[in-house]
Amino acid sequence: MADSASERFDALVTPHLPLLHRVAWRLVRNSPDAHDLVQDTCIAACENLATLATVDRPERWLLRVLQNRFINVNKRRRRAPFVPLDEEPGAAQLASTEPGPEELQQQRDAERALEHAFLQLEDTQRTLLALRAEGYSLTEIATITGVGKEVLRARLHRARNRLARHLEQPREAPPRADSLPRSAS
Amino acid sequence: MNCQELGRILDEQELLWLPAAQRGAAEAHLAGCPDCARDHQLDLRLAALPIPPLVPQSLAGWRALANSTVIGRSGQARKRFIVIGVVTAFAAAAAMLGWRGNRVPEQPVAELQPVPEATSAPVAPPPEPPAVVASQPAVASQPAAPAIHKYTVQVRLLTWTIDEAELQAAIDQSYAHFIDVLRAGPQLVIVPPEQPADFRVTYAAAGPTRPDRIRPDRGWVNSIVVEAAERNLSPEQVAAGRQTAIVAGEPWVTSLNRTLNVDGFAKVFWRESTLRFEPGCTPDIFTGQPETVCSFVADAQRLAETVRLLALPADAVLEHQLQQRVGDGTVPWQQRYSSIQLLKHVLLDKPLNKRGAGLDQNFLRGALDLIAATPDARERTELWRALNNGGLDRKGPVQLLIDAVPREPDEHARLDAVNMLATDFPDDPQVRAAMREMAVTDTSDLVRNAARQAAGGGDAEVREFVVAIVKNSSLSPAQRLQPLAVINSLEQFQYTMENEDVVRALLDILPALVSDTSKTPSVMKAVGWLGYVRTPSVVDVLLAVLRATDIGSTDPTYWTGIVIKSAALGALARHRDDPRAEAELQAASSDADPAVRQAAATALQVQ
Repeated sequence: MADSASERFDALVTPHLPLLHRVAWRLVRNSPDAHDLVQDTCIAACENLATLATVDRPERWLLRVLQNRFINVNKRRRRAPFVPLDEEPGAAQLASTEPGPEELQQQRDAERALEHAFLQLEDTQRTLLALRAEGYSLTEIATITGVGKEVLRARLHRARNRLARHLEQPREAPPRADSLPRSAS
Repeated sequence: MNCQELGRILDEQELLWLPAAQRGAAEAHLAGCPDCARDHQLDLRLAALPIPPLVPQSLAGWRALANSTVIGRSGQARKRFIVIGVVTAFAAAAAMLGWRGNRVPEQPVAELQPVPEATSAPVAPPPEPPAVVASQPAVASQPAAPAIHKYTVQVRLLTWTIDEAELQAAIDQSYAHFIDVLRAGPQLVIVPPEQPADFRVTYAAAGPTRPDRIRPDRGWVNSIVVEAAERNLSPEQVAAGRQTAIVAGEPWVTSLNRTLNVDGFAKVFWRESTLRFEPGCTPDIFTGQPETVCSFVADAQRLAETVRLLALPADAVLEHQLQQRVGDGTVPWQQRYSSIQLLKHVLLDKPLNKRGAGLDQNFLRGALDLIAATPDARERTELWRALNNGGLDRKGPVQLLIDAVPREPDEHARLDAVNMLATDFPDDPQVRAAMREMAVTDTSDLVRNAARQAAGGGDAEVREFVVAIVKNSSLSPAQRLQPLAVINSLEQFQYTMENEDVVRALLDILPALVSDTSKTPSVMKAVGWLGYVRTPSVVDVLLAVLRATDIGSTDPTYWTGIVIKSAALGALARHRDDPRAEAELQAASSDADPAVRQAAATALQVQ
């Protein structure tokens, strides 16, 4: 029995694990959460191997599970998913003492800014952009998510607009004047 | 095309895969619409965000879940999963830190993965053996090798749809042949693209590198990109691989970048070739860069062999086959020449874990035998040049070369042979002795002076000889350029160019020879070295060379012009204190031709 489950898992799920890992990483941008997501997806797959064997495109089924897990988990646990490299344990020791090429640094800065902006989006917007980044067309994403194409198109438009707005804002903007506590007078 | 139409198209398909006409319209819209361009750029940037590689420990942990779930109810199983998850998370974190710190493991880890059968790879059925491929020796006749370490390779074929059936068939055949040649590598295991691998090879036949280069009148472009798993690379290699993958504003590179460096790979090798596919096309190595080839299958063979030899780990079997091909009189000369070029790189270069041990007796004997058996002096000249390594890290048995050089009957080929010896073995006492003898006995003024220079003496005489000919306006530009080939050191060149009259004489010589592909190496050498000369007229000469390289993209010498333009821009980048040089570099940076922009970017980067 165990062999059979293992074989079915290898046939139906293992080939898609790199894809799941990539999409999960795109969604959460950190390793522990990405691994949790893939693991949860694998658990769901293990519990539904018989169902999975009947679907035409197992990776779509798996991506849908992963997407749902991502949204549900985030609803329950709104913890900060993004840990900048310089806050990671051991990162300081790993950092090179030699100055890197300026272009490389600029690229890293740009990547971090984009990550930061991306992580401020709603979960559904992140899912949509992550699947787009993975090369899925809107038609395919509609199949995976079960949401209509026109709705997705509108969401995509809003997601990009919002991402662009976040990118334009400085990462640590000073508090707005109207949000400051007013004086007692 | 309006914004809505573009959005609907790009929501379904990548820009690069669109038919040429539709892509042109889409690009035109993107160029004129900031909002759409912003959206498109956001997509590209998100796709290019780095993702750490999937570590085998994680994969193993997830696969172990399948066995755990049958133990009992899902709640019980989940407890086990948590334990597994913690282990894999630690493994992942460790791998992640290693990845970020770019630690290099002792061995590639691909063997941890199950190796699929060859038939599981997504390849087209093998084609008929192409006529151009030499018969290969039986495996049994090859040198016995110790246990071969296997490396996994993903192969991705980027395909375009071509209207012409004959051309499409040739392209399809080239894909299949490319895979076959790779698969013949005894240490390579071709795996499906979804599986982790040590290397990823992307091959695009008849594809665009840049939109203006798909030109049936000019030919087709084959491109190859090899990426290595970052886990197996040094920090420097990872950084270099990531940097080279990012060239802003180039559709091909940017699009390819979407899949580069997002799966834990870094680019380690890139090559491109232009080929013609037309009746009567004959391969000609003297038409400038890049080499002209006429067969997709032949080019696929060449690219696959190049990848096996230069981008993937050492391949003794192919080296042995190439050695045999060099000495096989039944093989076309062009292939024997290409084999020498490839073998030279394997023996001298040290990309990844190549030998870099130096040229050996077998290689030199094969090359010299081919020179002796080649009646065409221009072909022999190319062979002598092929043996030159620019003086870099040259090792190997020199006596074979010393004996062969004076026997070269053609003056110009002999000059290249002397330069090869002088450049690669400047301090070798045997070479100096041989050069001293040739400086007296050779029948050619040019060769005698080159030998005198190589022998380490007579600088003043050599300079006098060079100056006299360069300034002699009664000679043709080609004749006046010739003595510069005698000069084989930058110091001597700088010394000679201190004379303002000599530099000004180059105004009549170098621009006039830009379109003469047989003189391209000499022009390139002179133009490159002018970057290190401070005589006032140097910038005038370089600007004149640049003007001469403004060649229409449909002209047969377009590529040669680009190559020389690149050298001239590189030299100008060393004269940026001159406002004219700076202005020229800035203008080139925003030139309409992507190749010129690329050349300017490279020049500024190197500088």
